[in-house]
Amino acid sequence: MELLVSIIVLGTTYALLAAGIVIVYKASRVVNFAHGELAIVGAYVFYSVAIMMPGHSLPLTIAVTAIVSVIFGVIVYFALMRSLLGQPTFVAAMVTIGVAIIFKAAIVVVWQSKSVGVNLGRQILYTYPGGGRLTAVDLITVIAGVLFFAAMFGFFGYTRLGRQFRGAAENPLLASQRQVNVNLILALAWGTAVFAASLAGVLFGSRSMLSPQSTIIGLSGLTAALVGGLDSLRGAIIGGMLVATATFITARLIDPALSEAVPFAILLVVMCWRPWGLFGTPEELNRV
Amino acid sequence: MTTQPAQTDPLLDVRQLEVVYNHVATAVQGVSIEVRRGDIVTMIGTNGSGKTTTLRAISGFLPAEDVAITDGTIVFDKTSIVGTMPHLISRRGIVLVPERSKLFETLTVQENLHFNLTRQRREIRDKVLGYFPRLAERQSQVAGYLSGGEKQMLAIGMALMCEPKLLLVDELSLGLAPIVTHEIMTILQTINRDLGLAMLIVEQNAAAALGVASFGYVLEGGRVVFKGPAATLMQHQDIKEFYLGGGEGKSRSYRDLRQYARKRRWWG
Repeated sequence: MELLVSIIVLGTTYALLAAGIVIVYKASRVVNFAHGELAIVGAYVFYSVAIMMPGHSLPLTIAVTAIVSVIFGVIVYFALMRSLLGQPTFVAAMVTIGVAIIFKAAIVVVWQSKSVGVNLGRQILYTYPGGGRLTAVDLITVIAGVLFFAAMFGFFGYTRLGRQFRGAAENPLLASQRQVNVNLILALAWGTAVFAASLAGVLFGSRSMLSPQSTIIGLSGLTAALVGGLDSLRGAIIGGMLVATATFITARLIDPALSEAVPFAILLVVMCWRPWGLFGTPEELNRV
Repeated sequence: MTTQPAQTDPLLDVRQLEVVYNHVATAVQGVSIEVRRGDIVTMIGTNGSGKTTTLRAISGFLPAEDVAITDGTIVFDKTSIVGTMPHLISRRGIVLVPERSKLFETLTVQENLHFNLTRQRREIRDKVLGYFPRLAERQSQVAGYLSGGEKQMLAIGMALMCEPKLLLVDELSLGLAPIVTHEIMTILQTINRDLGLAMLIVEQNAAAALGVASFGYVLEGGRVVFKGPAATLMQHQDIKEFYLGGGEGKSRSYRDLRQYARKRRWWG
């Protein structure tokens, strides 16, 4: 039971990370290697905003960080990615690696690599018979994840903008000829992705201390996204849960040191068996 | 050669258009075309004659495409639209039904049709389903699995949902059975009459296009080599020979044909 809850909580964080990668990939066929950095910077921003806000008001901090992260994403798109439209996508992927380096440097420069934690609520809601604890953060993580994915599925499935988003992802020229401003759609994709990244980063930071090394969670997110299928939101959830399950079970049953490697072993297996991911579209493969 | 009657204010006025791909390949050279309000105009010509490029130039290029209008003017509704982004051109009222990838294949029929749905456009949606009742039966199907004719109907329906003032249709007959082509052409004619919607139709199937159009242009090698009212074009000896199939009944010898080939070059 306790293990299951831990898996779901960590899986949600990974799924949120993967979702951001999937959204950007879907819209622009660019694999964003800066996702972990964006997530941790988001968490640091949250930490700083919390200090600045009057009375450390939590709702206010959440609102400000959310807005800042979306604006961040839009800026990244317009400043860096927009000029790469029409270029081979690996060029854009290389640029995201550059973005990753810049953001990692930003953590060092702006926050002096300080090890900080984010407090979303550490109250213990329930103590398991074995001694483990269910904290408020765990509950918040799952609720945030469910809300985010419900919002995304609702948006893509049932709104006009969501339809236009999916259309623009499939055929930007046709979408453009159907009155859709493709640039705005892509900016929206980046805004949403960075928002999801920050959300994941904050949730991560509320459970363990943040440092420049934390950006490694981007790899877990990427693994989850690849396992689930780079162009599938459903895949992001399943991928995140799978990676979390593998990590926990190995740590619990075999060796904690090995748990870091197991997700990549799963990735390897999935890549050999279904290179497009569990829920991805096979046709996507030749675009990567 | 017949000239188009003088007029004060054409809806679309393309003059001396020149389009170059990759900075080197000139696809269209000095093409001038006019479409009046409420008219159906057609461009006919063989493969590579510049018809599609002309339509694409009118509907706008994305910055990522390596193609540019290097000369000439395109005036739509009294405003120049050269260098305008495609989404702005389509918002102004020029909507293209492209030759291929004309719909979002991963979306359902309904999602395609509702791509530009707003409260005010519900009436148009109902009209579209009236013109193409078959789309109503296929609403929940994924658009990529439709038949060629149904795809074309959906593509036209989607274009109508953008509230066009000028509909550009590229190679409607491509991959369609003649009877389906005829059916859709007839519906286009009905739409033209009902809504007063002007259309510019590009076709290789000259007979089908000239059947519904009032005016036609013949393109060859990126130039307009002939233009005139559709009825005149249909009667024209050379056009019958080269585009409609069959001359005056009796077959000609190859030596005569060669003469015509030379004559075609002179037109440019």
